[in-house]
Amino acid sequence: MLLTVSILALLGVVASALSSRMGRFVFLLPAAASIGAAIWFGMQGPAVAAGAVLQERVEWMPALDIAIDLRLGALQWLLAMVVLGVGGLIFVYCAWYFESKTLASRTVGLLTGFAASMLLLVLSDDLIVLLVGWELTTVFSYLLVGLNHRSASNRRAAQTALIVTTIGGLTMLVGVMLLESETGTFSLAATLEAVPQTGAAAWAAALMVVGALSKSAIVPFQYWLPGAMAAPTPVSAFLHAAAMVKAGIFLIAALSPAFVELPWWRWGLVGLGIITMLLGAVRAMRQLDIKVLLAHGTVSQLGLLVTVLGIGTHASMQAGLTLLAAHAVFKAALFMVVGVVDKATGTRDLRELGGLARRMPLAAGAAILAAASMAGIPPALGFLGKEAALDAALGDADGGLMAIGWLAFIGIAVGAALTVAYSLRFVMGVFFGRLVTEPKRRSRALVVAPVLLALLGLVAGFGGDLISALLEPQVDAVPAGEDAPHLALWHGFTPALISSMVAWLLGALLHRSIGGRRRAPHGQDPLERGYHAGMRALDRLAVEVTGRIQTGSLPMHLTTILLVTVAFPGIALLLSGALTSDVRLFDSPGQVATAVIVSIAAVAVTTTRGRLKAFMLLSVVGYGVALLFLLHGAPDLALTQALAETVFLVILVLVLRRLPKYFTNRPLRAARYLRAMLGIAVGTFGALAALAALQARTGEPISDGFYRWAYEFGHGENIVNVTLVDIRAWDTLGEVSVVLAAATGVASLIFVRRPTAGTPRQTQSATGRRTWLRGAFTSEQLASPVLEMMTRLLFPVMMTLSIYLLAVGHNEPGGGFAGGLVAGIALAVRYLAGGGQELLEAVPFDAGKLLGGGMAVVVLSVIWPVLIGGRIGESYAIEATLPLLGEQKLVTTVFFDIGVWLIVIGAMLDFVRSLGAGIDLHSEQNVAPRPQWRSDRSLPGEGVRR
Amino acid sequence: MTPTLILAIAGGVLIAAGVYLLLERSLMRILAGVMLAGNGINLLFLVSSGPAGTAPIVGEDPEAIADPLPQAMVLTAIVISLATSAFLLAMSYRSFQLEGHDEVADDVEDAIVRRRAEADLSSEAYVDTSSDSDSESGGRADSELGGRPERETGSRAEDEEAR
Repeated sequence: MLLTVSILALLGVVASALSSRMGRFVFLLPAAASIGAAIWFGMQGPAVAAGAVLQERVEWMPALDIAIDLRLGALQWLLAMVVLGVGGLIFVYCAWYFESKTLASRTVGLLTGFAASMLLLVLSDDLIVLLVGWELTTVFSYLLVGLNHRSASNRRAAQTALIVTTIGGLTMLVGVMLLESETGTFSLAATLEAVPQTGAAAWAAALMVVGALSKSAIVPFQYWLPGAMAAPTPVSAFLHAAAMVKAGIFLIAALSPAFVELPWWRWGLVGLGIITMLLGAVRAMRQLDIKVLLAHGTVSQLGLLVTVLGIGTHASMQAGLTLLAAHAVFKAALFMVVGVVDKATGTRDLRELGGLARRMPLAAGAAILAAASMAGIPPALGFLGKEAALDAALGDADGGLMAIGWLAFIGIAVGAALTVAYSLRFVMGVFFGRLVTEPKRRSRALVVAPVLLALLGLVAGFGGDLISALLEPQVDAVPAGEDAPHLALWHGFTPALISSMVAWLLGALLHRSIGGRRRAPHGQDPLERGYHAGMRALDRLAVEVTGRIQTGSLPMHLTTILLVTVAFPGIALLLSGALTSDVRLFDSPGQVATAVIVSIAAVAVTTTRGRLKAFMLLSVVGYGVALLFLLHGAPDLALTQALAETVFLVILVLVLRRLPKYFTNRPLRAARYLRAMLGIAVGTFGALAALAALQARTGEPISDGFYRWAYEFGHGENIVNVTLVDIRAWDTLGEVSVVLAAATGVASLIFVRRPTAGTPRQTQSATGRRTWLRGAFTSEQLASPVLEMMTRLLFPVMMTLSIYLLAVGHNEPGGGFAGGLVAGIALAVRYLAGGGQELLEAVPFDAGKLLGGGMAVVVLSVIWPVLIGGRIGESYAIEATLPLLGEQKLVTTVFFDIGVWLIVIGAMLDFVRSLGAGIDLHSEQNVAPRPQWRSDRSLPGEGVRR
Repeated sequence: MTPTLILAIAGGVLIAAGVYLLLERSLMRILAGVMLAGNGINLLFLVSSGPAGTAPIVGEDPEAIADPLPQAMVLTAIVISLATSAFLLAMSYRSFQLEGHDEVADDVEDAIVRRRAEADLSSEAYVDTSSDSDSESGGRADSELGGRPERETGSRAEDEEAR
């Protein structure tokens, strides 16, 4: 069984690829697989009929008690035969149906995948796996209905089908979870053995039934099925007639032994079934498109199935399953006939069809046989089933369930009459009467499958005893009713036969009186209208909610976030009592002085209108914080902060030269006070939270072990650096990714269209000026010989310092970040001395190479230990005695640090090159912004293309 | 453990000033706000790590060193702040280049949604699924897919494309 599912699934994956070589005959692959599997399943029939249950089990998620547990009982056997047998013939039919290669290749994979998931659905005993199959069929149905995605109406039909069945599927999922919470197992068989008689279990059953009804297009979900006829005809035959829509029926049949005695079960199912049956039949009478006519017929027949199964006795289970098989056979045959007619004449409109019986005798024969089965005319299988159904309803009426039995009986009889009428409408309208459209082409191969199925429906009618025997284990599972009589064509003049005959007569009369009408159907199903109104209301609600809460103003959004931060965690903080007065005022006098200066500078920033002044004050804050770091005992932080502050100052000045002198002023004074109040609130909250975090601490800090680990595992003495490159290397990996992204972002904001690589090299020194630098300014006005000379001397020193910091970082303050920043400052100096040209001399390639290379080094250094059998991120120390340097220890995490170093240098290069040389270029091209004199505005760059 | 009050106050002041600037519309002032608040938060990291100590380097007294873990976090935060500040700076420049100012305007898409909400309209992406029910009306039919003739040519065009 598992093998069949796997083979079909595999075929589904490869078939589309193979179709380029095999053309449309690729369909014969799944056809052969299905028919072969159907034969194997057929051979299991006798064993299954004897009550044996075949099981195969593969563990999937043992921790959650979820397994791929396939279980073949009588019910599963019947469904599997439908999926594989009918499906196999449909695959054969497809090979001659699809002509265009594109469509064939697209369809074959989806259709085969559908067959696999449908088989998984019916065979799975694990309800979760069953649901997986269930949802997979929904998805495949969506893709197949929307196969022609160019047509808007097809897309809409596909979407409706998807949404309706998915809502059902999700409801069912809730039901399954609820049931599991009662039974403690996901196994269907185990659930059925010991059904908990609780309210929760009843609710679970109801939720699962909702899922079943939506899948099988029962009122109030019936409207998606006619729309799904947008799919190609073989797809409709397989999914929307034979197999997928039977999934709900299957579930009801599987659950009914357990839940049939629930008070609402019989009433609900019989009631909804009859409504669906009559509604579908009446609407089928009005259709002009023969495919849509059959679709409404399918809705009606599914209603019949639910009605019969809903009666919930031995006899009704037997009748329902017989009808299920009969319907799969005749409806698939009828759809395929529609495909044949459609291919031959190019139309499916009843007004343009008629009299085809002489031209297409085989198709007509198949249609007549199949329609006879549908209408319940002896000796077809459909007759057998319908008689049994009427009998079961009556038997029920006698056996104590009076009202339901009579209701079902009358419903089925009226439904039968209507079925006769629309069957006649179909057969007479297409094959008899005046010939309207001459068939243009005929394909004999196309007729094979429907003829075979139609014959099967006829022959099976004589096999009543056999069918009864095969279904017995499932029939006996139902706890109610007397033993079901064996199916037979002749029972004598029973009330069932009499009512059948009345139904034929009424149906024929109905067809005579209104069957000839050819008016286009109008008006829409109120339920369908309700669905669309619901979808529209949902969309409107989304618009209203979004329009109200998402105003699009950045300050407003931030205010909301900050207010929530202060209000909820803030109140929780005050109420929790975590705050105590246990504080130390300060650690050292220097700390107090620095903190005061920093605070004053910060407040001053807020009131400053001058751009440069504000950022100078900001630098005071930055360097002050560096000092506070140092005083706290964090030399690494102090070093990095000071370097970062310096780099920022440089690039800030590079940008400020093209910006207006003053900030834009916000005119509203009231808003300013509100902002100040919010700021104070957030600041207070932050400070209190930090105090409370330490005061409320009860556990030992996790960093207590770092002292030991740093040396033992990280082989380094600088604990902060070892933390970065080893203990918490994943964090650092994420953080350098941010740096990389930001650097790339800066470059792309400045060099909007052109790559960041340098400008073409100019020939050296037109004036013949002797310079200290190869790429120095050629113009005497720009050049500063002193700066050039200083740069010439400083650059090597700074680069050496950078490498030194990188090298010692593992044991002393320093590391890749600090080293990279020093290199960045060195590059900035080169730029200041000689402009973009000099920068190009320093690094004659794109910064992206440094960034990408650094990232590669970082990632490789994290994962390489795996290659030698270590763990990801493991570090090793190699000790060696080198000449001159003495005994040295190389720790492998140094490569990680080198990667970080490269990324930081790359980022710095990007910053200086973009904000320095890039803006220079803008100025030359006259696209830089032009600040107004003593103003907060500038003119946009001239000729900037957006 | 006992936190240090003066550091917490300094951190709080920096955050307050930062938030005040953050609620501006000028990108440059927002940038200043982000940087101030970032520095403030870095200080609060130190507060929550306990008292000042000696540098966390093996060889110092293990009892006297400052907590290294918050330091590692703050260190990467510093570099990330620098990178994002540079990015904001470039954005502000670009804004000046295009508009002549760097004020963050209200989001246009959000304004459209708001207008649609006021006019009681559905969203732009909404497709009315009920308007067309051509599958219900007479089957002007098809060879391979239910629907219109245009799709046959469509699939042929796609065939061409595939080759």
